[in-house]
Amino acid sequence: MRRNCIATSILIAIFMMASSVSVYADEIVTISASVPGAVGPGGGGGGGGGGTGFSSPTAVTFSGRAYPLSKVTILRDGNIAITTIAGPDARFSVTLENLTGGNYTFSTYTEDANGRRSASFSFPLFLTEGATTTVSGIFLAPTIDVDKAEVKQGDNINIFGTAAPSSTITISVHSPVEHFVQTQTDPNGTYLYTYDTSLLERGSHQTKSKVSLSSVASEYGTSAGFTVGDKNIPKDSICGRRGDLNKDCRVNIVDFSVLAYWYKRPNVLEGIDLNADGQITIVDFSILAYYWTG
Amino acid sequence: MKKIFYYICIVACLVVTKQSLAQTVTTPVSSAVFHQAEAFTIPITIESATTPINAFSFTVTIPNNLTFVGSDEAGSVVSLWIDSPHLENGKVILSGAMPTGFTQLINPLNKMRGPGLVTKLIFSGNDAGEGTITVTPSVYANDGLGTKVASAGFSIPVSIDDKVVRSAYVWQDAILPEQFTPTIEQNPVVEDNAYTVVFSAIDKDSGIAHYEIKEGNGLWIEATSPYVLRDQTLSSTIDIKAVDKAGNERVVRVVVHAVSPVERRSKIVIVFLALCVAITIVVFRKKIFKVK
Repeated sequence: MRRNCIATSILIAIFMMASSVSVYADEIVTISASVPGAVGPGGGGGGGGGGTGFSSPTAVTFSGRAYPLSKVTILRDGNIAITTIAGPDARFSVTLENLTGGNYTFSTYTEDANGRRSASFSFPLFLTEGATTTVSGIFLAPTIDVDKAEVKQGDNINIFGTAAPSSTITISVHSPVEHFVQTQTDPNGTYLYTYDTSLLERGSHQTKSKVSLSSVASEYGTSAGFTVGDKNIPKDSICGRRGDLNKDCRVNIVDFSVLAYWYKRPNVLEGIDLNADGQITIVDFSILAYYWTG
Repeated sequence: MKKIFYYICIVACLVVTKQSLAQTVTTPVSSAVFHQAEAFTIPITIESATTPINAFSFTVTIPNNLTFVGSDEAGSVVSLWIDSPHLENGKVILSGAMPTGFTQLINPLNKMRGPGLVTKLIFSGNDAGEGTITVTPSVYANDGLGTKVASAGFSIPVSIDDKVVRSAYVWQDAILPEQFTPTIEQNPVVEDNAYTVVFSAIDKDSGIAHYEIKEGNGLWIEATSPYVLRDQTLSSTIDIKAVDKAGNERVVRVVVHAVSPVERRSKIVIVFLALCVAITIVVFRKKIFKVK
């Protein structure tokens, strides 16, 4: 009985440890805040004098790595709040000011030189009035695309995108068996991998990539899809991705309003119904929210 | 063999428990006793420690001795409402989205993580008696596929006693809705390419109650986005009013881009020339007719 108890305890401990080592994006991100002039516990409760009405601004600074000279966008509750350009080393830092205390959802993404967007990185934060918050260590995932919408089985398909310069890119090609390959980005942050599709079955496939540099890795980014079939069909415009219902290369309140218009209406037009189940439901709004660019 | 089965069962239980706790829709209220005619709130919070989520819909069943009064979205983590909390067939329905995803709210000062507020539902007690408020959620992953994730709701017992204490709910909000920018849109899939105006405002202190629109010198009428404009020539001014739950209003005027300045100048020139021709005819009509 005692041996049973010990073994059970060990199992539970192993399970709990396994639960706590799972990797999430925000584990590489440091979030901290400070209130100017605030004193620690026991530091005396003086003050109160003066009465000048001065209060420090409520602000958030975001910093991390994007791509060399890429445009970095910060969303505040889904709306574009500020943009900046990353340096040649891909590092960026941007401060959002004039905020008030309260709950906010901030997110950030970047665009490469060809207008492809990274996956968004989201931070739901409670901001204290007068505190300066710092979110550092953001490591944005690579962009990814393919040169063919359909590739003839056995032919090559080019998988390419942008990430931090001189970093290692891990590419996953998802089929019944997941294949992994690695390549490097050049000093401009671009990468290209020519993938031999003879390993892949006919049908739809997805590919995604993540970046690692100096023992820090990003999350996997958004996926690019292609079909392995009988012929080669080049891929056209990068615009009009899922959720971009008005084809303006953005997914925002305008696309949300198109879905809202068709919500609970019959005979939904093709192209609006994002999960193709014949109706607009919360699932379609969830898909749109994933691709949101503000 | 029995021992192996025993261990498998324990691990399975742990996995199931962990999964069921991964997405949590809950309330800080465990049970509540209120008076008749007294307004009270039931906050609903959401968190998903492991799987980022981005959309939800809740069905809230309420006992007969409660009246649903409304909701307060002060401090809500929801930025897009699909269905603002409203009564439908005796149940409160609400749904919304959190673009780019939500896991937990982080307080950077003390590093604490916790659930984010969705809304506070406001009720008023009618007759004395016992009842249960049950929230049944559907929650969706931020995975680009709209995958439904396992999520337990909650039930809380509510008791209304014999005492009558009349109290109305007061939204604590003296701040206007935030500045917003409506846009004129045209899309073949909305009302056969008719001009519509698209708008959405944020109010952090109580939430948006409704919108109103005024075209030209017309009356203010309640509207939802997208709103099909009555004046499809876009020659009228368009004002949009966002009204929060406390009654604060922000009015913005839409900048109409559909008629370009060049087009507008051309129209003015044509009208001017037509007027000149008309005046010339009137002034020189005798000469003109004599010649004839």
